[in-house]
Amino acid sequence: MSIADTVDVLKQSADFQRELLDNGRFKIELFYFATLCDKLVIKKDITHPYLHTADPSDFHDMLSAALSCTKLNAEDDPMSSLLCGYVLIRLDNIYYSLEAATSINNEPLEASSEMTLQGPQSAFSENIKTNLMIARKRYPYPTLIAEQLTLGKVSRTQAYLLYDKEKCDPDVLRRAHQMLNQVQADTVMAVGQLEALMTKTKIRWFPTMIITERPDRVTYNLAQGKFVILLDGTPYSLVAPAVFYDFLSAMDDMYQSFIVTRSLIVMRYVALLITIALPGLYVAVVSYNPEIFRVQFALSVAGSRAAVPYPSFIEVIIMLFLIEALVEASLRLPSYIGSTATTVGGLILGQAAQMAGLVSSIMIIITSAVAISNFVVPINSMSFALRLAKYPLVLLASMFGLVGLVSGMFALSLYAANLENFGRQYFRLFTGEPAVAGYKESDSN
Amino acid sequence: MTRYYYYFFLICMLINTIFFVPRILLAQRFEGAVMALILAVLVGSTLAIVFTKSLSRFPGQGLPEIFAGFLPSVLRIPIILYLGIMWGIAGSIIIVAFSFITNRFLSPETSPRLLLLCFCSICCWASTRKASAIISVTEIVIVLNLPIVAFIMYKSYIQKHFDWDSVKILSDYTFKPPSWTLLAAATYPFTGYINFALYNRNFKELKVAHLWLIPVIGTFVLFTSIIVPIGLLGVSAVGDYLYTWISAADTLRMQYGFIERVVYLFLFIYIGFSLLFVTITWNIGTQMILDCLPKRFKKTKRGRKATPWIVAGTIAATTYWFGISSNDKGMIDSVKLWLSIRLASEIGVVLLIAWMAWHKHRKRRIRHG
Repeated sequence: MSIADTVDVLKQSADFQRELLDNGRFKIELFYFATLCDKLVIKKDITHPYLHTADPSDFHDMLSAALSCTKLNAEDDPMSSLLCGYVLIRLDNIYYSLEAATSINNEPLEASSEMTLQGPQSAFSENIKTNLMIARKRYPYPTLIAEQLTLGKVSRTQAYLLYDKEKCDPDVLRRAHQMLNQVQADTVMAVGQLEALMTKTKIRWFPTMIITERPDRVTYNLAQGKFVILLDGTPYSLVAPAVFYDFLSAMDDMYQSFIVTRSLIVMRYVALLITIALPGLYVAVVSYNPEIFRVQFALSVAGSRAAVPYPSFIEVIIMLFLIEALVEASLRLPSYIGSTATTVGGLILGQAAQMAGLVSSIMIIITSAVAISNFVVPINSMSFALRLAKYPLVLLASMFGLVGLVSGMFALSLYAANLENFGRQYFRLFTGEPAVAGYKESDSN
Repeated sequence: MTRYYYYFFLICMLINTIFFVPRILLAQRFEGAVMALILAVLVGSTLAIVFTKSLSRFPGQGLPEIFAGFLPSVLRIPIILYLGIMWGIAGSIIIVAFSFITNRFLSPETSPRLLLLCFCSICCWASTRKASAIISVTEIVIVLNLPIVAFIMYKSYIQKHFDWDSVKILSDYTFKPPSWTLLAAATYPFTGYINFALYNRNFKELKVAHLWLIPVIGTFVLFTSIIVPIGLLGVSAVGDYLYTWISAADTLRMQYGFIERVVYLFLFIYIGFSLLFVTITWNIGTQMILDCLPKRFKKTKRGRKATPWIVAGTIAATTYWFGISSNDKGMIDSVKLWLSIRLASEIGVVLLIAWMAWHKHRKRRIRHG
């Protein structure tokens, strides 16, 4: 499209401005989106110098010398730059385009989904320039490369691929470029969506890339030789290639003393085991092998189940469904009503369900233990993936008892180990990641 | 690298209690079982060390590739096919035996056919995974369960009622010549190294440090698997039990434990070990058999191969049929037969590999003058 055609198409919008300026000596014409452009920049860079310029050739020189201002050829199409907040200037039928984009939300936000107690408190902002600045400030090293990308046919979302050239594996980078080139979508809004677009297999379960809002995690992972994708309009960034261990490590792990950290990590893995296996274990023990535990315990379980008329798996499914609904509801509700929902759901419903003989009181304890343990997982996407893992185990346990439970866990770990992430192993006992913060052991393999 | 070698070595060491090795040995405890144990340590360690040393001359190569360089395909294909089937049968024996065990000790109400079907389908799925994934899971299962195994061993040795006299009685029957079957059963625990016939592909170099650990661990585990049942069940009564080790573990009690009966702990970890063992053997068996098929069967369909599923499914279906048509007695007879054939073919494979390694070594020396 020629320049005139573009202007014709765009002028149908109410916020598209077309202004003819006259300083008494010569005329210029400006085209821009009032909503996308910063009036201050336009004033400072265009209208103010324009007022003091004597003749058109001086103004040509002024525009050629201005920062981020390009002269357009007759066949250039200014559509995409106009839509990104550029100003089109017409002077003697020569067009210039000057960047004057206004930025929203360029303040770093407070970390809201990955808290640390004594670490850095701010997260990334929703503006990609600010994010890149934060990343550069925290990683002031000459080998940090930022490659610009544009993703999405319609949204044309800006993105940066960030990596340390010295440390990042070239093979990983080659695969990353290949995956990013494959991205086929109209709009790209969030990094989680980008992850889904990048991965080939449609049916995925465990996340293989970390979604984080913490600049310190990004810095740490850059130093480990991973790459980071920053996306405009979201405070979250995508870090890959990740191993399973990364999803269970909080940034606090580097800010505490060695023994404290290690104990916390062990605790997190125990919580992981509880959140996955406990409902299945309950079904297996109650319905198949109550004799596994001591007699007193078996009796007290049976006593608490005395009023419950159903087999144990129905009880588990009722309770697990309620708690999942509660978690989902409190996520979507505004925070004012959220606390009401938790009180009604957790306290009243739980108590009443037990009194009504719908579920046993031990089942209430198990449900809460499962839910609490699930929140221990630091990275949200993994916590969601693990929420699902207990259902196949409950199914197997209700069909085959303890054997089914153990077989299910074996299959689960084999599934995770079979996942491949940029040609690397995803789930291993000894990950062999480099120790950049001094806490991870490296493997001599 | 070294640690992976010992994981595979250990899994075979630990699985022997399910493989009826103690049962076969204890049935003939007065007719040469002790001598079989002593000979097995010698024979098993020698085979393991010769195989490992020879295979280290072929870095990153599995048995099919090595054979391809030395043998014509008329010889190579039947041998590899035979080995693949042997591997498949090893897994099948464990899966059938373990489904009997679960049905008897853990969930007597579940239908045995359903249990076998569950095991078969999980292992069929598992054995079509990548070899690297199976190796990682081996590490996880072994490292997590080994402390529990050590605890059970410790628990059984410090039992107040452990009858050392019975063990001493057995020492009177040391110098009796063992039969081939006994020797075959006793050497089975040493056979873990053979999995590297294929998994050598996944490692750059087969360099194993501390090879002296093989006879040491071997002796300890082998004698433990005989002595503990005798000490706990008594030298004459021990012959009456079918699943010797599980009955022996059932005599133990943890007074302050969350789980009171040790046998549940034992069964719990052995579900993991059995599934892992079957996954490993079926994976190797499938890969071996696939190597013998003509190239046109290895077509990929949208990036996924169908042939491994077909081969693994065939093995699983055969196992299911074998499992529902066999009983405990027939099972032991077939295990004995399999073990005897295995020892002979294992010696054959080790000799072949040693000859090839020697050949390669000599060729290189001639080339370098």
